[in-house]
Amino acid sequence: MKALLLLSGLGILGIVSEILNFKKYIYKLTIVGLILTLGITFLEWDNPAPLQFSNMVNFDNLAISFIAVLVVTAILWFLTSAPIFDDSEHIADKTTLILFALVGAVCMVSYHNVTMLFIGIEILSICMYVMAGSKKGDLASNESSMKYFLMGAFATGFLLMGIAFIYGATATFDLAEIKMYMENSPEHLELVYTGITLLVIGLSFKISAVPFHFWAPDVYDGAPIQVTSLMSTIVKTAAIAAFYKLFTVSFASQSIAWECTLSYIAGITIILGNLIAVFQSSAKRMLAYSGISHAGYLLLAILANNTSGGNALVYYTLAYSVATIAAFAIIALVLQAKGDTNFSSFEGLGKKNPLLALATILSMLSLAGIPPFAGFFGKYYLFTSYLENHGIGLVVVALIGSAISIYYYFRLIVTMFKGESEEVIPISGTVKLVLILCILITVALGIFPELLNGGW
Amino acid sequence: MTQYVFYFLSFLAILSALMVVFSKNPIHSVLYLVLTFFAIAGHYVLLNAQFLAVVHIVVYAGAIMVLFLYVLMLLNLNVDAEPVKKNWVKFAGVLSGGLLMLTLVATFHKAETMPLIQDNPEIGVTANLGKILFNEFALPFEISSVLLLSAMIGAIMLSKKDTKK
Repeated sequence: MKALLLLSGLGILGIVSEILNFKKYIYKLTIVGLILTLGITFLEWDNPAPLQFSNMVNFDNLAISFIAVLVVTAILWFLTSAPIFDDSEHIADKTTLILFALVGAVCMVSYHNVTMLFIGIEILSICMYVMAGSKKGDLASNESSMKYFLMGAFATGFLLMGIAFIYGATATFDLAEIKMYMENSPEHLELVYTGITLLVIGLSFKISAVPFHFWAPDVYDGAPIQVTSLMSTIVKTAAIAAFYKLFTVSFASQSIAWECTLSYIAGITIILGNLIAVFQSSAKRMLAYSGISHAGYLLLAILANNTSGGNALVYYTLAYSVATIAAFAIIALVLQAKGDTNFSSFEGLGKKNPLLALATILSMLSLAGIPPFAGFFGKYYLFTSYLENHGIGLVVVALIGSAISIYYYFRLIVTMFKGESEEVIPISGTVKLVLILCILITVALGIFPELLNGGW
Repeated sequence: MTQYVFYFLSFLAILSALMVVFSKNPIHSVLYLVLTFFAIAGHYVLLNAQFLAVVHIVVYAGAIMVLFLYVLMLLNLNVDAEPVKKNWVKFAGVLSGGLLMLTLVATFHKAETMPLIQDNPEIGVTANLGKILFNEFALPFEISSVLLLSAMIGAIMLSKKDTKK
């Protein structure tokens, strides 16, 4: 609860800074505030407050872990994204919008009532629509924003209709009460089934799972690179956490209604996302497709339908977010230095910029799931939690997908050590710090995977 | 009596919704959409949700549709400028829309229909709505202010002209 209040307060501070003319300091204030939020969030660990505000929110340990993942990602993101805060004109607006997006994300991971889920998704989405178009002079950015808005609004329609069907059947928005209804009335669930299907469609849109992924590549490609980084980390984490919570808390007993659909969605997402990523010539677009394929892996945690799935999800989202933030930070540097994000721009990077090369190698290896890095254990935990009560079929598909992904992740690494490049890309101190932090987290999580996979 | 009103309103809503899609002139589409909204507001009144009905008319039919009309007239979309869509796109659209409709119709066909139970006939009155909003739904109500605030900031940020470039 405190995280929600603190983040909202920070956002409002951002607006006030515009009025009272201290927006020069708002960037630093935000980072300090986020670190504070991270600390305060953990005060509620193992100390669950009773359900607050007539059961609207539930800050259990799982929710707190997700909030921690989100806030850590946000801190790393803010440190790497100084360039978009450079033009002093909109610094306060952008900071506020991103902090409010975080408020939405926190609502999405801690809701205990479907209305909170809906409002959280809307807050997050609206901030992201605007941020995608924040490079106003750039046509691609405008297109990306417009596309994201239209598609997002369309998906929200499905989501809302799903919620309406569920409410029509159960006459409640409360997760626990929906769960009770599902367990106690095994007949007359037609409305519920349709509602669940519509919710699957709406939420799959938000996590960009195939076949609801058509918006993702263009939006990710067109948006300013820092915003893309935000979209493929925080938005994805929040959306999958919301998805997990709704389906494993409320709909667990009726898994027959969604298990089959979701398995197919996960399988197709993994294979198709990875296959199309192979053929990309731009690193940014490649990461967009790899983001789609990761959504497929994340769906395994929902299909697992047990608590270890939740633990695996926290671990995986942290590993994925850290590696992705590092990768996008590097691509942003290359973009700034060379003007585009094609693979050819990465040539010769390995010899001139050892830190960049090291960070790229580690984040790519982690994303590909090579031991002993964080990504490997993320996938390992996901697969084991899925195998607890399912057959091996989907895991085989996921492994084939991983094998394909190794190809294009390695292609970037190989390109870095090919050819010659004269210029050394200058790296600012904070970005260096973030890259080192990302490397440390990726390695530490890989070597001591038990750090984060404790029971909660 | 209520039943006849229900059928009339439903007929009106569906007919004008179809006309929104089928009319060639975008201005006519918007006007039919206003009609649809009025028909739906009528349904709200039948369900004893007076507040919702009034808000629906004020916000949708009033504010949003007027805005819509303004934009259409400013853009002068009267000319037939709609791009021709490929046949397979049309086919895919019809197929997926038809499937969705089939599912929905089948759902309501199979679902047990219960008569509307109103334990509190005053449920839709503004006073009761306010009580629920400020007691049970206090947190979502307050959090929506963040939603509105971010929409406002976004609108200002996107529409404000940059002073220097």
